[in-house]
Amino acid sequence: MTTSNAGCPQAVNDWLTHDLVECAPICIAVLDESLAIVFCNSNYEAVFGRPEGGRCFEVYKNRDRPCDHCDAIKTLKDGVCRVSEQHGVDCIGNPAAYVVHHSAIGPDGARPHHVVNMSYDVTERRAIQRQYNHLFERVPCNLSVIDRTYRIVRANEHARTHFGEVVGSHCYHAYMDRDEGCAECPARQTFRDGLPHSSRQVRRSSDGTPSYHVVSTAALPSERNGVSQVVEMSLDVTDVHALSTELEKESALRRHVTESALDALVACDEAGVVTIFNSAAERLFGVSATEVLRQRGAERYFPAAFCEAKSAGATSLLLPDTMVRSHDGKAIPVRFSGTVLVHAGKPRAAAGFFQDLREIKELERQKLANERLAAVGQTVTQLAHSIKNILTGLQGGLYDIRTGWEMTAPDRTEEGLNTAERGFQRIRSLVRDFLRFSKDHLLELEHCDPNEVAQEVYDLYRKVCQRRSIALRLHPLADPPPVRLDVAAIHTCLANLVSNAIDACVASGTSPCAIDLTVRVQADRLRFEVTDTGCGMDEALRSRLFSGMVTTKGMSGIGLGLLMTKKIIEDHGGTIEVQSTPGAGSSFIIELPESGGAAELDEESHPGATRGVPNDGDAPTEDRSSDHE
Amino acid sequence: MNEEVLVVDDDPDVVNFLSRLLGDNGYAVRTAQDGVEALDRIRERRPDLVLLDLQMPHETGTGLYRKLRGKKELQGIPVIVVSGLAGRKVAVSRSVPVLDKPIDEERLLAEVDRVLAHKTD
Repeated sequence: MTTSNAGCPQAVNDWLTHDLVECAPICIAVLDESLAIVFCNSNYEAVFGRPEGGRCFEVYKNRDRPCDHCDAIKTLKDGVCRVSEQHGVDCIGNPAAYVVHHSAIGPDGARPHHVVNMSYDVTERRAIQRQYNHLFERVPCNLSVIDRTYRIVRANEHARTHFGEVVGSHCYHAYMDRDEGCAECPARQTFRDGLPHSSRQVRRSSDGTPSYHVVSTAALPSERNGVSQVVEMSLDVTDVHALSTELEKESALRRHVTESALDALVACDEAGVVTIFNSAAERLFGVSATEVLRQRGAERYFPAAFCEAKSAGATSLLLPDTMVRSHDGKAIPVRFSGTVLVHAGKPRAAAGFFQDLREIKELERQKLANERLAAVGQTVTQLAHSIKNILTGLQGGLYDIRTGWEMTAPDRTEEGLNTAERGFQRIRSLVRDFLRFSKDHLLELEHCDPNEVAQEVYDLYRKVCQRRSIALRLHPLADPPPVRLDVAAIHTCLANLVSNAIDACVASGTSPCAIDLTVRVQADRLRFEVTDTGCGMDEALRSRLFSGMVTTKGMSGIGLGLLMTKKIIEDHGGTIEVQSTPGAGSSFIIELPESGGAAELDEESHPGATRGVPNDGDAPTEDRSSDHE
Repeated sequence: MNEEVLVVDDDPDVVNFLSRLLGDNGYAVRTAQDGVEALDRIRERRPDLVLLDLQMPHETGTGLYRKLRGKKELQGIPVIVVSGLAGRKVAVSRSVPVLDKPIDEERLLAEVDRVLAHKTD
């Protein structure tokens, strides 16, 4: 080794000669012409181990022969210094990367006899570089490095796949298909202030397909002041954008539907905080949604039955006719349907739909009033018809009296008197029937055998049915209990029902038809059942049966029919119901308390019970039958 | 031979009265209590005239009228309606006389005479 510093103190020269090799922070080794390591410093030994006379390719690379392009051999041949990056293994077998400087030792102009090998470790730096490159290339989004002219200097695999070979192109052209920079360019902002920025952009891939991206930029560290390059990362959110758009549409539709719904809709979360309160709810409850939304206390709008059902674990409840309270406490009739959203076994939300029934109720009330008016009109018409018939009968009686007198025919005169008498009785019966409708009318109760009442009605219609080829069958009770009934009234009811059954059989046009009049006791209730196999009724007719006057009859009825029957039965504390199938027949079932129901009306507290109206118990059976509808 | 009138009414007193009135004025009279029975009587022997009430149980007068007009062999039988419903809209032809109850005896006899005089068969 030589030195060019002739004036250098000897001590320094000595240090340079003997100690520098040990102090230098690099690995130093000297190789002879056979590439055997003849000297190395301690740094070398620390990295590669003691050479023990081994040759460099054995020590560095675990090879059994020199490398194909060995710089040491070349330097030994021509004396030229060489620098290269080599990859080998360290003393414990780990891969190692190092930069090697080969310098020749030998007389000037002659072939070198040794070569100095000086190296420093770059293993960690190379590993970091590999990791960075790998990350840059394989990250699942578009990464590119952009210079200050907005040219792309580097683009990762993802970007190249979607946008083609973009390196060298302007980013606005490569990604946005534009001829000039974008107005909202996050890269420009980062170049300006060095800070990260982001924006949303619609980009076009190499095949022209638009895609939605979230673009973020960050400055690359620069040795100089300012930013010379930025890294731009764009994430394709097309799917998210499509979902978001769809969600927005759904949300808009839901808002529209909710707001335009005729029914009020109130929804709340698990804590009872109101989350939906539509316009119809505002109208129904008389409070603005802004006062209610996001506030607790949704339960006050729901019917109590729904809150209880929800607490009991029910997930839905329908209340066809219930009441809720407006904000100022007024009761409102509604049809309510409630549902509870249960997730993971717990109620998470609840919603209620309210159909405002106020208008319907008012219409029903008006309809009922109109029907009552119509019923009154019909009643008057039927009453007039009945009176006309009775008057015609009386007219006949008077005719007989007059002509019997003129013809000196006492039989005819007597017959005329009898006819006039019947007319009088019929008018009295008519008045009696109308009195039954008055609230003050009281039953004329008497102890009786229910079988006997049924038997009388059976006897009354037996021949009529025979003429019509209808099988009328009576099924009396085997052991009839004593009951207290208004016999004449119950007779009228049963006669009404049997007469109606005959009509239904005639109307059916089929033969044979049958009518069963049954007396039985069931669950401590006395039952009279009149069942026919006639034409039956549709729902419309059935619903009108007890609400107004339904008549298909002539003079024998005054149109009060089933209305009167129902009143009589209810006065007895009983019920009447009908089951009917069009084309198959009908069944009317009267249920009375065995005691007669109204038997509690004792004579002391209700002296009019038996004396309030004249007792018609002696009226002929024919008279009873002539009253029915 | 006396002309025969079939009186159809469910009210026995009305039937008696009409029978007596017509009998006293020279007509032969048969009676029926409702439409079903009336049709039986007509099939037994064709009457010259039917006096018909409208509201009757089991088979109304309107129903019987439709049957008479719906059967070719019965179409020519003249009908006079005698009903407490007279004055209200009734479902019979305008050519059919409709008399109200109580009965105007003279008018009834006049209508019976007139209708029988114009009878075609």
